[in-house]
Amino acid sequence: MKNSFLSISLLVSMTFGSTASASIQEAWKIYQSGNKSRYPQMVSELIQEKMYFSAIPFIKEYLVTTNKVNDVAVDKVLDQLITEVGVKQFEVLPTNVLEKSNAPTIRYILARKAFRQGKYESALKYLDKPIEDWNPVKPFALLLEGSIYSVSKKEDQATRVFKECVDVAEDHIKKEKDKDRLRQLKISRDYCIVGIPRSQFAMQKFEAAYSSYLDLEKSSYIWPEILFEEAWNSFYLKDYNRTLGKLVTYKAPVFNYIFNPETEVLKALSYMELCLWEDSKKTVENFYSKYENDNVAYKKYIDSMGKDYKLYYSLVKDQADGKIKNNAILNTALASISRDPAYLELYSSFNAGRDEIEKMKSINNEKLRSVLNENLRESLNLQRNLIGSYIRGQLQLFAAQIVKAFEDMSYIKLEVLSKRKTELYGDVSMSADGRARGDIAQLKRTDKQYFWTFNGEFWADELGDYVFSLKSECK
Amino acid sequence: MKRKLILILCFGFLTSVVSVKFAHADVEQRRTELLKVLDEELREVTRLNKQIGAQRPDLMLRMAQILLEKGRLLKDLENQKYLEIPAAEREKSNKDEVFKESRRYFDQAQKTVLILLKKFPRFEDRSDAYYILAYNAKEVKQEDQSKKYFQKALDESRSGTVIADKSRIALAEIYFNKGSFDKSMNLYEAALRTKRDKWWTKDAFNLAWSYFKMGKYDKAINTMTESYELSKNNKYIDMSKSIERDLAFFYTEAGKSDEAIAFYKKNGKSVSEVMLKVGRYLKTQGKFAAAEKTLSDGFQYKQNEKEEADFNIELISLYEKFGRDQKHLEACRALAAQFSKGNLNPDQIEILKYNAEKMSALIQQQLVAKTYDHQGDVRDKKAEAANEYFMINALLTPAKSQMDYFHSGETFFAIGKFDKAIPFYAESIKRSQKNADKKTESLASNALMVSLGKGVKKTTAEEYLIPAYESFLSTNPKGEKSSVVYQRLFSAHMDKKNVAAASSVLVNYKNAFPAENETQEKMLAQIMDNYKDAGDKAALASWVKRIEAGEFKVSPDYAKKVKTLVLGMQFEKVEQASTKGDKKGALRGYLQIYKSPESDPEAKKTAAYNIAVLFYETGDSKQMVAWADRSASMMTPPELVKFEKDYILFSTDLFQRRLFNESANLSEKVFDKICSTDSKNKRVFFKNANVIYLAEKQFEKSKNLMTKAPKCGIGNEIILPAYLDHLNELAASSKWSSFNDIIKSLEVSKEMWPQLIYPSSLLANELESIGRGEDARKVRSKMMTYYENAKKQKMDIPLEGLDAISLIRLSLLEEQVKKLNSVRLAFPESEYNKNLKGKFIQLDRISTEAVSIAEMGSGIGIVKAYKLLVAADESVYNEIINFTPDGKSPEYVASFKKGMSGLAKPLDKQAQEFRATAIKKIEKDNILSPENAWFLVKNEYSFIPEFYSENGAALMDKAGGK
Repeated sequence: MKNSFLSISLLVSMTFGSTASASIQEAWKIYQSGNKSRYPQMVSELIQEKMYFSAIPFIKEYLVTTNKVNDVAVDKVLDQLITEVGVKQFEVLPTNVLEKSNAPTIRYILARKAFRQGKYESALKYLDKPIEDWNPVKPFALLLEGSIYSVSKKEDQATRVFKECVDVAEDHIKKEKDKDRLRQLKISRDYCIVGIPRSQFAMQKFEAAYSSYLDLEKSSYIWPEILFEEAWNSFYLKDYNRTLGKLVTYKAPVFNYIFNPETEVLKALSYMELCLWEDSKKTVENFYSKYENDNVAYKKYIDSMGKDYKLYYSLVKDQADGKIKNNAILNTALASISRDPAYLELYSSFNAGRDEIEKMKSINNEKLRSVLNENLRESLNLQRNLIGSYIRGQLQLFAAQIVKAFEDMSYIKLEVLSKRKTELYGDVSMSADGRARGDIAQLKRTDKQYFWTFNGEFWADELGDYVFSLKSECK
Repeated sequence: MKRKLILILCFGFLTSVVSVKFAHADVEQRRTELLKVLDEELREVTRLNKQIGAQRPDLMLRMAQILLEKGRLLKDLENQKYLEIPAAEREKSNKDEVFKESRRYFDQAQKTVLILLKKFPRFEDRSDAYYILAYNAKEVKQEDQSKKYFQKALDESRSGTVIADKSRIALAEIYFNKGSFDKSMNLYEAALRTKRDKWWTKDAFNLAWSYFKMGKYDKAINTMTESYELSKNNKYIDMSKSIERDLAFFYTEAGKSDEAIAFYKKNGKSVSEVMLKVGRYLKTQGKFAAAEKTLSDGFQYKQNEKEEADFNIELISLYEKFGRDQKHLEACRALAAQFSKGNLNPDQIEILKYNAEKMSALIQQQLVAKTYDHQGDVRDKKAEAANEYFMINALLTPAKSQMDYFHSGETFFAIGKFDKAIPFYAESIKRSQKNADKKTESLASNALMVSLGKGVKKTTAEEYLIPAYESFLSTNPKGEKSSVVYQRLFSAHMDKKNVAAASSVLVNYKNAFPAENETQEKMLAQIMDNYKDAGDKAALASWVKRIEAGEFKVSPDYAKKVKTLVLGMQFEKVEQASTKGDKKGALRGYLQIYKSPESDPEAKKTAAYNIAVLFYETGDSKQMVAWADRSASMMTPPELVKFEKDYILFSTDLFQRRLFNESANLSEKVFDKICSTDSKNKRVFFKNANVIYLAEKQFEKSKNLMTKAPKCGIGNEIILPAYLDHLNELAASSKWSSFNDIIKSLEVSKEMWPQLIYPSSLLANELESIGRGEDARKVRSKMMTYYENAKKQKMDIPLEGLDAISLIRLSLLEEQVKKLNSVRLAFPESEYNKNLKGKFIQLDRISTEAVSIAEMGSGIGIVKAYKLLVAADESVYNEIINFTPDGKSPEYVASFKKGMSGLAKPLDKQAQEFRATAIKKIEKDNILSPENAWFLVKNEYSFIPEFYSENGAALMDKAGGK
């Protein structure tokens, strides 16, 4: 590899200045020179001083102004910096700017952007060039790659990549000390674990998916949300009693924060498939009575906030500080966001950025301090807006989910009524006699799973294992 | 989750299930439930629309479906209600008004669909929308419009979709019903390529018919058999019955009878049934020879009598057509036998009737026209055949059977077989009478008379003469010759000793000729003599009863003669025995009369009375009382009055024989019976009964008797003493509760008050003796009221009443005397004077009250009042004389005593005068009082002796018991 200017400088700086002030002075010098091509070196100096957010504008400016980054050392700086501040700060950059770099983190960001746009081939291309296993972005990149294969219905590749992802993530987890990063790694690993059953589910291999889902430990941060997927999987296996059993887990107080109206939809659907019309209808009606009024107020509320990201940011923060809104949907939505891994990642980065404010005080060079302060303010503002934007997106998503759930619920009810009519028109007795509930004979076992019946109490070790034993009333 | 709306299913059900399933009993419940579900659906679609916030074509379509469905259900309901309206009212009713609600929903559905099609012309499921429009049009009977929309629905639908097939089937049905089988065939063919639903069998059935009509027999048979096979699967509508019915036609028309038999055999169906169907079908097609063959062949496979009848019914018209007379008769004969077993249905009966009537008439016509006169055997056979047909007719129509018998008679008459004709005429007459057919009866009667005059056999004449007379009289009950015919008929019956029939003739004669008394009497005499000779008393009695009831107008002499005859017969022997002193024989005779069911009540009561008398005479009291009671029950009150003295004798005899209860009961019984008469002996019976009841302590019976006495005209002069006796007996028996009740009941009448004083005193004394002083006081207070009122009203008060009142007053007087004596004279002087003055005042009061009591007139009161008065005077006198003041000087004492002596002397004098007056009154007024001795006895002892019997006296009660 050709040694670049930056790498030489870095070596110099490592040789002659190991103190903070030395790095700061070096950075000042580069800044004063006005040579933007040397900004990566300056950023490197600042990274040494753990002034990551202050450095972001310099590297962005570098990326915008340079034609092509063809320097491993610069890539390394980028990797280092993005690992600290998160990918969101750079996702906002245009693709053509990002494409100037070959840094694994940048490629990961580009792949994410393409993935979101549904350009799976392009996304894979960005990830085509190998990323070293030790690279911090590697587990995340593997997760992304697996996901791309999964949605592309390439189950074998997906499974292979996800398995690799789990192994790599485990390695990283063993070495990682930082609490926030450790959490991200574990989440990433767990998503890779469930990536396998997800692929199987996509291929309608429900029996296989059913067993694969069990590989995810209940202690996982993402287990609650995956439980819902398991419920769907059971639904497609026509094991409606198990679906209902999994869904009832969400009633446990510990899952109060979960915002997923679709759980109710799935519940109503399951009852419908069991021909338990009244239960299905009751679920629909309960859903409407629970959310109909609140939803109007909720929608009105989030619409009133427009795109004021600062407000959104405060909303979650206030909620975390214990300020409860008089709207059940909003409260649950905010509780859900505040536990959302993506949000947490953004928020922890933001907090880390704020730590730099203190560091700034130790810089004697007033001019440099002024420049860095401006940089930090700009980066943190962006970070806050990114958080706000994310929150807004989530809240809007929830709003859409509720409307969608209402629609689904109505269709379920119409379907139930339609079936009821069929019964009435047909030669089926109207009497509801012999409706056997809670019949253990309805259980199906697999060797990987213990079976529990839900008796109204929640026990941590039983969560997700409840199984209803309702008898289908289908004629 | 957008769900595909299920349009087709709903309408599939609407078209067929609604009509089929709703025939069930739970139709109401289902409809109500369905309406609820539809309302829920409407609400849900509306809510969904609101949630989505925009109109969406699929939802509009769903809305239209629901509206249409609701409209149809409501229309069913309205239709049901409309049909429940009585026809007359229904005609007047406004149909638009009746079907208003469903119309509203149809309109809404229509409107919704039209808006949908206008707003969303490219809506992918617009075929569903047209389907709704089509059904809507069908609902309002706009067939062309409906057809147009179904076609549109078909055009707009994607091939292979449910809606496409359903539209095809709907169109096919329209064409099928119109008879456009080429079109219906093509549409059904396309729609039925896949067996989409359970209605496939039903639609395939129509397709098969379409093939059949188009002459495609093989396809028709194949489709039918496929539908038949699928009908065995419960996932499909079972069309097997219809297919089994129609497939035979197909096979026959296709010339595949053998295959038909194979098919039905294979499916376990009756071949005979199929052959019958085929035969019928061939007949409808005018293929009679083939039909006869098929049916005759099929007849071999018949499985039961019903099928046999079915075959014969089909065959007789063919036999008639081909002139197979014998077979025709045999078939009719077999059918008649089935008819008798009740195996023919109304249509079959009509067919048999038609054939029998036609054939009998035809043959009779031939015989009357003497067509076969030269062929004796043929003629006779024909006559027998005609007769058989007539008998079948008679069997089928019993109400007109008299005509058939008459015609049978006429048939034999026509060929000169009178002995054969006569029984038919006679039967015709009988049936005419039963069916009230005067005309036929008259015809048959005349024919019978004529036939009897045609030199018939003697046995025939003997057998049918009486029927002939009867028939004649039946049709000519009051004719010119009828009187003579009645008498001949009567004689004919009497000759045959048929008295019952003769009696019947007499009755008819009497009705026809009521004025002919003499003839009636003669007939009666013959009948009565007959019974007399036979010793049939019951029959005689019955006729006597009828004569007495005026059923027959007979002369009084004859009537009396008859009655005497009967009674005489009854009592004749008994009286003879009685006269000869044979009491036992007489008793036995009366007893027989009494017990005989033939005896009339008159005879029975006479017998009962005579038995009682006979037992009285023989001293058998127990038997006597039983028969006296029985006879009294049977007699009318006036009759009993006639014999009342005998009953007094009976009751007296019973009393004397110490049969008190029997005596009293008999007296009361007679008393009750003659209650409403003016008999003077009523009071005797009353008193006798009451006295004995009281003596026997039967207070309730006595009370009941007294209660009813006023209604029987018994006066107070009898009743009141009876009550007082009753009260006394109650008191004597310590029945105080009943006693009190009687008093209360009598108290209502103020006239009774004087009489109640004494009994009340007994009650008061009793109350006092048991410690109920307050109650006693109240009774006494009431007694005083009775007394005061009686005095005021100047009513007579019984002496015991006066005694009782005086005793009350005396007890008060006694209290005053005690009070007088309780105050003692004592010094100082002022106190002495005060007490002395008080004593004089009190003495004055005592004197006034005592005199007043004495004046009441009570002996006890007079003597006791004087006794108290004398005692009071003497007591005061003695106290004054004997008082010596203490601590005073002798002079003072002497002067004081002297003064007091002068003051006291008038008291002593007055006491002596009162004593003398008392003695005078005792002697003059014969007063017997316990206090008399106080005045009259003067002895050396200070007490008054009383006397008691040493041996103990035996007191007798009223009844003579101890």
